[in-house]
Amino acid sequence: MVENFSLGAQNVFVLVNFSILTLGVVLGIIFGLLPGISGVNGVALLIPFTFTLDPIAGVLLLTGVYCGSTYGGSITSILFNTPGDPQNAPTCFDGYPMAKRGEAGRALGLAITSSGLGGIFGTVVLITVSPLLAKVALKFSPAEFFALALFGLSVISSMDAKSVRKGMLSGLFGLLLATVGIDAISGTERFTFGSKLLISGFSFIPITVGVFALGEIFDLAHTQQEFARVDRKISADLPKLREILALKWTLVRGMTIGTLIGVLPGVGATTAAFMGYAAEVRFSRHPERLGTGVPEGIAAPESANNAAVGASYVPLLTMGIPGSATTAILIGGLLVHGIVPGPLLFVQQKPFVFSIFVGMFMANLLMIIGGILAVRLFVKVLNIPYAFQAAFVIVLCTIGAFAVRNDIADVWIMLIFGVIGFLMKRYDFPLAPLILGVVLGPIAEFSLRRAMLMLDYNIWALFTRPVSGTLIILSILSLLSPGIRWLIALTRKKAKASVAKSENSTP
Amino acid sequence: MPRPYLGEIITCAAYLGLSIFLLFKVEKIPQFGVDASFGPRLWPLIILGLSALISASLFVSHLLTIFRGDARPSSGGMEAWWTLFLSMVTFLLYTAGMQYLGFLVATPLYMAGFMAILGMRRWTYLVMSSIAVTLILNFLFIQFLFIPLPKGVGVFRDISLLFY
Repeated sequence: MVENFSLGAQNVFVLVNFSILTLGVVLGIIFGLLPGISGVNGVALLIPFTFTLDPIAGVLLLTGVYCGSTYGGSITSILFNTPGDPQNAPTCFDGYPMAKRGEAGRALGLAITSSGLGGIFGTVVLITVSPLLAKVALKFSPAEFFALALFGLSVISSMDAKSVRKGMLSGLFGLLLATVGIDAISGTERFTFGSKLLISGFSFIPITVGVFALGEIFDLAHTQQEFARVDRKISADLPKLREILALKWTLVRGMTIGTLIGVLPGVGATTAAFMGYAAEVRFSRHPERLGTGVPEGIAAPESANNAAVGASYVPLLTMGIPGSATTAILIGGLLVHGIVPGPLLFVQQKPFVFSIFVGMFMANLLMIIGGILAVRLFVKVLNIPYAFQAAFVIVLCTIGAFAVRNDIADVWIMLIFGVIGFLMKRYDFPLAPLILGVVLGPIAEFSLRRAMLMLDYNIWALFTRPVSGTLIILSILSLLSPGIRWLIALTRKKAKASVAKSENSTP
Repeated sequence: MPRPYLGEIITCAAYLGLSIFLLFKVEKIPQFGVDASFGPRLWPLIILGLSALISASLFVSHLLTIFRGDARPSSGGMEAWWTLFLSMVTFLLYTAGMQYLGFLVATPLYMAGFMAILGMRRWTYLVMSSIAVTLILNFLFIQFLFIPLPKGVGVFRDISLLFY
């Protein structure tokens, strides 16, 4: 093991490879923070550039981009309430309110710290327990995947106890959007209405960018509210050790969830981020504060999504199964260089595998350093007139939406969802369940139908399996919990009233 | 009818109407084979059924709220429907115009117009920043990342071809 690490380190610390890794991290942060470009598109765009590189250098470049982009999106999430990457969407919930209060530097410092710690944790897990994690993940059947998707949706939908119905409607709308197009199993068209555009379904990026970015800009144009301007002398406010220790359980939960989610094939950092945030809502002592700009709301998703990055390499390297959309593209990058991911990789190409391990560890360190430097630069963006910021962001979003399929139709879709996002914001419909519905919808449906095939169409079998049954019951309880709390409060109120009445009636 | 709730009622009613409309469309989705009951109709049926129920429930709740006369707290800040309308129309024109004017011509026009709508009155900054940003984005996305943004038609296409 030590010898393999030594070989890996030798490969990574060659000047050319280390420079390429650094370039990858910087590009990743840039890709991540640009709305609509995202780490996935960044990796896909850079794969052709790796043709001329050595295999190790090529993979280090792509790994650097992946690591950097997972953090980079949090910058725009915090500064503009626009997730640069879908996996940074939950960071908007508390990051942006914190920035509006004039604490952007603190929010950014929390993001980089949580991201760095999460990334390092994910890498350590990848290195030390990847074989074990892979075995656990492979035991999950479609029933468990369905239950996991349902659980994620139900928790996010029930986050706002005052409007669970609105949260559910938002999530259901997202699930509905995900059904448009061609059914993956039967190949039949659903809700296409004969439109060529709708046959390919709705792309996630125009919806996300439209709902979050355009919706926010339209809302600010409507209310003409100005957020608190940041002191020009602000600098990145890295959290003190005391503050990090105060967040230790949040970080541990986030990193653990991120790792467990990341190792599941096909689920990815976006789900990890939402699940990390949902877990914080569930286990926080003050869940009502989440969404108002608290450190936990940043630490949870950022530690989760970066932990998921390292963990997503587990199924990729050990089984050749992508752990996320980005790793699915990475498989293409590996195959180009004649490297076939799978269990034989650990036997035949150990130096290569350990180069990835060391490279990922270094990428997270470089991300922390680069993030600190980038934060100092991008905090200054807040001093730029908002009119310019808004116009610039919209043009970037337009480019990002167009770049998905090189089709102007996606820009129109972004506009439509911008209007929808504005209306949802105005009438207090939460945005997160919609996005999660779009992401988890295909996973949930596909898993459910496959599970039914495997369980001979006995839907009750979903409840008898320990993992899926537990998750489904927790999902139901999560959605009913506001009602249950209301009933308990009503019962207590009536009990107090009857006690007071009997006390008053006694002479 | 209290103004703050009108939009919510319309939204709930619209979603209810959409759910019911699509429920009728679900029946037209082809379904065959042994697992016909768990085919492509099942998932949309579940989603639309729940959507119709919940949106109807919300719709009724809002109606009851109106009858009770409950008022919604003010959201604060000055509402500028006109600015909002112009913002949306401007972006619509930008998207429509980009196909004919090309990215390089449409973008600075849009940015300048949108910044003016949002209240910027530093005209030199407005014009120069719009042009500068467009050129930078041209270099970064079109020439470096090879994203084939629209070139436009006619003379506008010729202008675009000068740059890429």
